Amino acid sequence: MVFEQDSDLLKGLKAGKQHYFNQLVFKYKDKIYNTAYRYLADYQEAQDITQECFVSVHKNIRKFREESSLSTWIFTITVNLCKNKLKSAEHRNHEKTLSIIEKALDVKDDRGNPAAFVEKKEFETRIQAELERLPVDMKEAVILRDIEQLSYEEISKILNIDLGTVKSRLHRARLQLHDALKGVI
Amino acid sequence: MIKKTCTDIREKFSDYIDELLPEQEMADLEMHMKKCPACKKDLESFNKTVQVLKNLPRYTAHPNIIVRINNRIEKNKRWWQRFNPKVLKGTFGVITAVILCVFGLQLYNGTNVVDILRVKEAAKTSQENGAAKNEKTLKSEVQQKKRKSAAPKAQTATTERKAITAGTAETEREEKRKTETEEKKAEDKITVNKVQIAGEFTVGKTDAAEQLRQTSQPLEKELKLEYTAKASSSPVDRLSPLESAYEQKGLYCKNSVVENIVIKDEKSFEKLWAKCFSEMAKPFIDFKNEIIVVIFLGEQAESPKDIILQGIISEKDKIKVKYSLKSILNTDTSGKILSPYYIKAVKKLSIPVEFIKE
Repeated sequence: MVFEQDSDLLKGLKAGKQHYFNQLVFKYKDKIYNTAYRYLADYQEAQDITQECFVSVHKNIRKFREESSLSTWIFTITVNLCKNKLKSAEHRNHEKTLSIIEKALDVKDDRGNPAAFVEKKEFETRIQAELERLPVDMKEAVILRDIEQLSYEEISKILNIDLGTVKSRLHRARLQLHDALKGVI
Repeated sequence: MIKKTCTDIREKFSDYIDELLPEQEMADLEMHMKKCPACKKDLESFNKTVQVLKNLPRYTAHPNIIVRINNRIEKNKRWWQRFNPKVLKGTFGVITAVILCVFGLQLYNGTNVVDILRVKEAAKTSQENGAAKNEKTLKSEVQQKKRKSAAPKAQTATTERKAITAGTAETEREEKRKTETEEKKAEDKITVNKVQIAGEFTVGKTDAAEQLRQTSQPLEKELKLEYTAKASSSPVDRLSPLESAYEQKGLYCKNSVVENIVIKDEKSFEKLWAKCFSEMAKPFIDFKNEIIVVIFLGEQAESPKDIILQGIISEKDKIKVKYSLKSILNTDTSGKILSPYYIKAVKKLSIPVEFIKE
C-alpha cells in the first residue's frame, strides 16, 4: 500500500478529513502495535495502547505545533501511554495474554516447520523476558533503536533526553542483554 | 598515541556498530581487534546480540483496528461534534441572518420590540387601574369636578366686566345665561357619563371652555387655548359610555384624507398605525373586547378645525359616534399643515357604527 507523505497527511488531518486519518492509521498501526507489545509484552494491552494512541492523535492533531515530525509525535504519544500503563496497578495485576496461538496468528514466520517454529518462539520468548528485566529507560532505548530502528535524534526527541544520554543508555542496555544472552546467542 | 585498554574498547562497541565513531577512533579500534582476539570475539558476540534484536519478529495490529479506533472516536465525541461541521455552520448562519432580518425590519418600520412591550405593559396597567376604581372614588371625583368647574365661572366673570366696559349690557346678560346653561350642561354630562379618571376632568374642562368660547364670539381672543402637537397627541385614559379605556387625539398625522374608520382587528390597526402614526409607539388594544373608531379631518390648511367628541351612544341597532368641529385659533403650527385626528376604543358589539357630525 502506498501512503501519502507525512506532510500531506498532516494537512489532511488538520482539515479534518477522515480519509487521511484512515491512511495514517494504516501507515503507523503496526509500528505502534509492535512498540507497545515490546514495552508491555501483552497482546491485549498493546491493542489498547494502539487504539488509545490514534484516538489521542485524532483529538489533538489541531494542537500539534509541528516542532517535531509527525512520526516522532506519534511515537512520543505511544511511549508515554506505555509508560503510564507500566506504572498502573492494572498492568501489574494483569494476567498476560501471550498465548502461543495468538502469537502464531500474528507473527509472520515459516509455519511449515513446526519444530523450527517452536524453537524460534522459545528463543524470542527468552529475549523478550530479558528485555523485560531491563530498567524502563534502558528498555525503551533498545526498543526504539534496535527494534524500531529509529535514529538517535528521533529517540532523543521522543524521550526528551540529549543524544549522549541516548547513547549511554543504549550501550548499557545492549551490554546487559549481551551478557544475559551469552549462552543462547 | 594512547594505548587503549580492553575495557575502553568495549565501551565503544555500540558506537562502532552504529558507525558513529570518528575515523581515527574507528581505526584504533580495528587495530586493537587485530591484536586482541578476546575483544574481537566479544565484539562479534555483541554485534550478534544487536542483530538478533533488530531481526526480532514484528507483530501486526488486528486488521479490524481501524474500525475499533473510529468507534472509540465516535463514542468520545460530544453531541455537537457529531454533526457535520458544514451543516452546523450553515444552520448558525441561517439563524443569525433571520435574527438580523427581524431586527432590521423593526428598525426600518420605526418600531422597537422593547417599546412595544413597554406600551403593552402601560396599557395593561391603565386598564387594571380603570377597573379598580369603584363607585366611592367616582363620587369623590365628581365632587372635585364640580368644585373645579367654578373656575370657568370666574373666567366668565372677567369676560362680563370687559363686556360692560364695551357698553353691551344686554348681550352680557344673555351671555351669562348661556354660560350658566353651558356649565350646567357640562356638569350634567360629567355626571351622566360617570367619568372616572382624573385626566378626563381636564378634557371635560377644556370642552366646557371651548363651548363657552364658541358662544361668546367677541371674547375669543382672550380665551387662548394653545395647542401643541406633543401635548395633544399624548394618549388620554378615559372611559367612554361603552366602557373602553383608550383614547387619543392630536393635530398632526400622516393621513391627509377626510375619513371615518372602524377597526376591528389587529392587522388593520397595525396598517393604519404604520400609515398614519409611524413615529409613535403603537398602543395595545384588546380586539377581543374592543374596537377602534377613528376620525380623520384631513389637511387643514386654511381655518383649521379640531374634533370634539360629543359622545358615543349605544342604541339597539347601532353605535352612534357623535362629534363636532371647532375652530383652532392662535395655534402655533410651526409651518406644519394640521391633520387632526381622534382615536377612541369602544366596547365591541355586533352592531354597526355610525359617525354623526354635529
